[in-house]
Amino acid sequence: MTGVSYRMISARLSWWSALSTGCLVALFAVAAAPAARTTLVAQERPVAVTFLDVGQGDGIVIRAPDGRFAMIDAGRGSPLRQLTRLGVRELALMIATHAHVDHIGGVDDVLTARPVDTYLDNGTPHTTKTYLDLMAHVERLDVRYLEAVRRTLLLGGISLEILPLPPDMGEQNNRSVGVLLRYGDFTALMTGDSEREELDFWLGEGVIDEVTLLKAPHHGAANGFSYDFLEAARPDVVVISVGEGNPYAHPRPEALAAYTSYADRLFRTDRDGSVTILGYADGTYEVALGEFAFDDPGLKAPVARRDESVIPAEGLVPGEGSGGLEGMLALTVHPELSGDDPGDLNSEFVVIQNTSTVRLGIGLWRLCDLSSRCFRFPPGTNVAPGRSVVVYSGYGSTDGVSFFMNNHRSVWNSNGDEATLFDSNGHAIARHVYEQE
Amino acid sequence: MNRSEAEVWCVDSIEGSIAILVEVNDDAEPAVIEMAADLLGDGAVEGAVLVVPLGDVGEPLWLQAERDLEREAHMREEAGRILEELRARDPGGDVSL
Repeated sequence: MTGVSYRMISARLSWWSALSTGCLVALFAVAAAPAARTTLVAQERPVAVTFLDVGQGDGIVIRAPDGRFAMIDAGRGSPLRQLTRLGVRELALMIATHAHVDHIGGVDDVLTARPVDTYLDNGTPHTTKTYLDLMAHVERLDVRYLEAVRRTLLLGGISLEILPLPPDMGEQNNRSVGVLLRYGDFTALMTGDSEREELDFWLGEGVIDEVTLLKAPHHGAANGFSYDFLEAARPDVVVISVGEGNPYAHPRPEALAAYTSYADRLFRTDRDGSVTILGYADGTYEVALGEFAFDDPGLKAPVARRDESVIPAEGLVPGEGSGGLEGMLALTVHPELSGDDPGDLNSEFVVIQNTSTVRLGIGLWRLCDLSSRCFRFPPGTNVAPGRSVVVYSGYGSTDGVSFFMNNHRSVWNSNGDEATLFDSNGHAIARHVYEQE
Repeated sequence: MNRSEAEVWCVDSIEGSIAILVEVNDDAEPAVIEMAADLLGDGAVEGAVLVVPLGDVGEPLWLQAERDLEREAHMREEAGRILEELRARDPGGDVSL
């Protein structure tokens, strides 16, 4: 989606930190905007789309802004441990995109252990015991059943548009339920195991438009994308739900190349674990990796929980409670000496080097100048031992090593300035003071 | 074929050259296996119900698997019956959850 690409908004207080203050409805933060302008930014609650690490399969949890949950598929095995960890106690909606075992194998457990109000599937019968047992269970339960016809479901501030199913193509994949989530300008498209035939059908129906988030169809298979489809969807971020070392060689290199040619960011559950995209109504989004509790409704969720969750790697120092981290990171400011040339702002940058022997998590940390113009690192950011990350003043898209403040004017004063790195609790961890040479 | 000397499997899906099969049995958790689709011959079709004879030590003889069209139709009918019952619960149109 052009113009609504991933960016970190230094002004925005995090959703969790907002909740931790008890301000649930209208929270305002003073923005550290470019050129030191002061702006008030309203904070709304995001929709959270969590792609569970279910191995080879799909299991997606959607938390609406009002705190209610929907789920799309449930993997091959039981996802109950993950639902418990997320704090999902009941589901307003369960969608089974199609009847393959890697999508519905865990649904029966969900229906057994969690109250489910509404169940939706593709209405296409299958002959496996997994499917028949599940359908018999649905029949026994007092749930509302919806068939996947073109319709819109409203849930706590978001809409879920069910895309029309193509005529029966004989196999389940191409009868996958397509779901287009809308929350203001944030949109997410999730299409189960759709193959090119179903994607083409939707293109013909004119229902594919630019989206913020795309779940890669069919686990990143070669038949799960087309350039026509991606040209229409133009996702900012793509998530591939796929099992490590799966025997199908998913995701395929050609699919990865196609997705990365359109999307700014790509995540894979086999490498990143569970992936959560927090979508805001203004079309921006944030990413959190790992599992964490949503809590109800997050009143007590400390910021600390977030870094613990986004940086689960063993031996990694979380980005909060950072006692003892002083001296483990070195800051060096390289100010732009030639003035405020908008085309040259990326020649101005700050290098943050990890001088320790452990990986350091700096997600949600802020890098600020003396005027309190700050850049906040995305959740999950970390610096390997001996390695550096670079924060440029100008525009660009991050690759996890290079970050961009997206300013249109110089940040670092060439006559002398002070760069300070604050952890997520506001403690100064590293500082570089310099004067004009 | 004596069913007690055979296993019944259903083809859940075909992923390229690999078939994913779900056992048809009375267990709460049916077994799921993956195997080369070529071994199943004409039975390598999504939704096919296969009767697989067992060898001397109880090993499934996949090359001798036969498609059980009657059982397959019965299972499809049962699925269709449940779906029809469920469709009666569908209020139609857009829904506020």
